[in-house]
Amino acid sequence: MHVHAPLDHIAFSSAWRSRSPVDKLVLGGGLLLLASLLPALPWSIAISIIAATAALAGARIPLRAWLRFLAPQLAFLSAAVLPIVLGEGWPRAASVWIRGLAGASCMTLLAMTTPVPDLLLAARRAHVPGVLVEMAFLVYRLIASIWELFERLRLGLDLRLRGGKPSWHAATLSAGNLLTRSLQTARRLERGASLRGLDGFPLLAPRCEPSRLFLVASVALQLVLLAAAIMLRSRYPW
Amino acid sequence: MVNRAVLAARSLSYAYAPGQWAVRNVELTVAAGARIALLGANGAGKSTLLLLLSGAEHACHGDLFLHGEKAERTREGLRRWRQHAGLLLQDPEDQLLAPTVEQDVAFGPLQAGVEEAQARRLAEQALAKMAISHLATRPVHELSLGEKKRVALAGLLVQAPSVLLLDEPTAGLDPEGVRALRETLDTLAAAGAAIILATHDVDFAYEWASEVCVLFQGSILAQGEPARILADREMLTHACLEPPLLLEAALAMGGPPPLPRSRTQFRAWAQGAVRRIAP
Repeated sequence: MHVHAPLDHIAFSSAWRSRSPVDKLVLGGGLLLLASLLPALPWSIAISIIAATAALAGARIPLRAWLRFLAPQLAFLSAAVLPIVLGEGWPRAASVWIRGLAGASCMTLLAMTTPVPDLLLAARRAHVPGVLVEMAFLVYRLIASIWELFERLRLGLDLRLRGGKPSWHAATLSAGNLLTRSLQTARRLERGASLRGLDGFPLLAPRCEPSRLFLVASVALQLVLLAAAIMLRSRYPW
Repeated sequence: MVNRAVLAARSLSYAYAPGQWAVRNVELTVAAGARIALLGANGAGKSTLLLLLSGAEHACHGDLFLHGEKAERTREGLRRWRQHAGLLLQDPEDQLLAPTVEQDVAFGPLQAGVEEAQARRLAEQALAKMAISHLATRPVHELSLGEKKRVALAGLLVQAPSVLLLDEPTAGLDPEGVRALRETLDTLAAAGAAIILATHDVDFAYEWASEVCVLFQGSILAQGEPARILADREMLTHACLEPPLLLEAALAMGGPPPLPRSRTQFRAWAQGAVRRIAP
């Protein structure tokens, strides 16, 4: 049974899977920084387009998946700007929304091309305290197991209900079952970790090295955006 | 094959609750290169015995010896024990810790202080030995059960333990997976590793093992050469097991010993038997 968290699966199977996390952090992080610094119009729109192009054309993320993961973020963003519409009016709300879209696009680009373990290994190399990174690795592994469990329980419930809608009672029972079995899963993983003599969490670094060409191109693109924003300052004031 | 005991259990007993014995007075001597199958119905105590032999659980009574040295319950003693005795759990999911296959297989050597380049090389070798090099960069949680088993086994092999303990290793594997597993186990045993596996699969045990132990309610009911032990239908019925098909067929045909231990041997043996009956 192949089950997996969809975002994780996309990150592991993206065309940029073998690209160094440093490359992706420089591109996504740099664009995110620009999105927060430059005027929303037109630069946040440009950044959103660049992030989407990188994801869809570069990392070959399916358009449907891209929209599926961006949509909830945009829904949340839309709800958040409602008070601004009422308080400061449409132009300000639109500006915040567009900037939010750019930020969400950059983060989605990073999340859909970089599996969590690669990010954690990058965090370790960036001297994030080891104990935090190790805990994050174990939590990640546990979440993967619980997700698999959840999918199995959902399938089991669906089969027993023969495709019908579960009642509240059935859903509550399933949730309780998931909780109990999650605890069992955690205990079994703990035993497995103990069997393997878990003492710290040493892991092989991914084989990929940062690409100089990719880094230069990313930084150049960001500098071009910054230069254009400076040159067009009179037309699009900061 | 060096016929020296690598692992020995003396009067080993374990209870999950007072009076509820999961393993009772087990005596076991395991020589280097031995291929031992623990057979028994559900709840017979096979998995618990493997946990005890791996050091994952501590016996209530009795002693364990590895290479003649008594097991110590200290952290250091346990660490040493686990370097020599590797356990494959029934559900491999429980012992896969790292995010990707290659990282998981290299986890053991890195934990033991091997430097990264060497750990990577060892992991590559273990993956090649299990014929799963193509899975190296895959996340472990996306693998099938059979693939997870092979990855977990590669994670054990990479540390070259002198005793391999396998809990239901053939469960969930397709015939090709069982054949590949058997080949790997044969290679390891030929290299001197002692292998103890717990299984319900009497056919696999008959074909593969050099010795079988039939467990019933935590105790060893019978122990010895497979053709002799597994021919005892009465004892097997008592232990809620069935005789292996090959052995049963050979006995029914009433041919002369040595009885066939594999399908290939059976074919030749049966042709000989038929020729004798109807020349």
